[in-house]
Amino acid sequence: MSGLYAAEICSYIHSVATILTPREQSQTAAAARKVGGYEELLRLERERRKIARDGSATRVHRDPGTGRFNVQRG
Amino acid sequence: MNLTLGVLAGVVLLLPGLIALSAWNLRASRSGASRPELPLTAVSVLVIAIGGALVAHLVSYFVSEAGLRLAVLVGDGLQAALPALEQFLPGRHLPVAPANPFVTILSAAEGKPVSVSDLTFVGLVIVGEMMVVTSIIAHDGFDLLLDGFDLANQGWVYQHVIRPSKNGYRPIAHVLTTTQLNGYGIGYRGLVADIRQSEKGETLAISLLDPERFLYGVSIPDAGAENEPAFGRHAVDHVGGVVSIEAKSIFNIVVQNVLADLVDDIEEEPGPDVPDEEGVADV
Repeated sequence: MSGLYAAEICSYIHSVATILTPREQSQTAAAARKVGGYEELLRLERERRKIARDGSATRVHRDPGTGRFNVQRG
Repeated sequence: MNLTLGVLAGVVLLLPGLIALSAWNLRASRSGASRPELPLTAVSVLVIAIGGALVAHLVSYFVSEAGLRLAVLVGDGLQAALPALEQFLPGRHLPVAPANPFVTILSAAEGKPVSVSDLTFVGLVIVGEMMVVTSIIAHDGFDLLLDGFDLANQGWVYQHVIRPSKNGYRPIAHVLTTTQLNGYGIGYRGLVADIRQSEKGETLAISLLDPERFLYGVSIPDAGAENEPAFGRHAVDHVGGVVSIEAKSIFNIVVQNVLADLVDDIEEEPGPDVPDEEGVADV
């Protein structure tokens, strides 16, 4: 069995029965907690889509005064 | 060839197609939105297995033929260009190239004697076919090839959970449960970790990672009031860990997707120091 073949099978078996990898899951959950919950995360996604609709790049910014995250052109 | 050997040979010849089906089923279970596997007795499944095996055999016939001819050419060239070879290998000759494995199979089917080395070559070729077929189906490129085709017939789960998650989105579900008390119900919101579906495509269970729990209710205005009935959400609290909700408790499910790049940006942006919650494993 070639190394390439073994690597493919191992990566395949590794992620069995998950929609996202464990790392992606924990990363998304941590991001939701960081911004204040899933509702805030979804609000940021709506802001991102609104800005991205005209082709602009976006970046996440945290207002140090309010501690609230928002999406800006960038 | 007697019946037993005939059946055995038939199964061996179908192996590449059967392996392709097994790899496909394993790949479907990878999505985390699983449905029962199709039974092997289904006509469509058998047709796929036979078709896959035929394609694999056809390709390997030409590859074997080309490889054997190349090997014979190289061998002839070596013997012609290096007459001194005999000095180093007195009395020895380069091994005879085996027959094309599919010629061997036909010879065996006709009852003609076949050598052990030819049979071994047949086995090697079939094992090679199985490895190649598994590699192709396990490869991420195969996903790209079939992107947009809901081959497992998973319906909305494919379009709104599996496909987005394979294309850089993270599915977040709001699940309203049937638990009701004094006009209030319990709902959960979290990252979709797993969905199970029945053979008919009904949702059997959904698991949410690191969920929040909330109370919901519909406010009905008094008679004569101007305001309209409204859906209200109250008292959100963080549960953490994983919640698995079975079909009998699911009232409805709403799925929204968040771009993975947004999650990456949030991760990079410095935020308040919030300790890790219990129940969410750091990977």
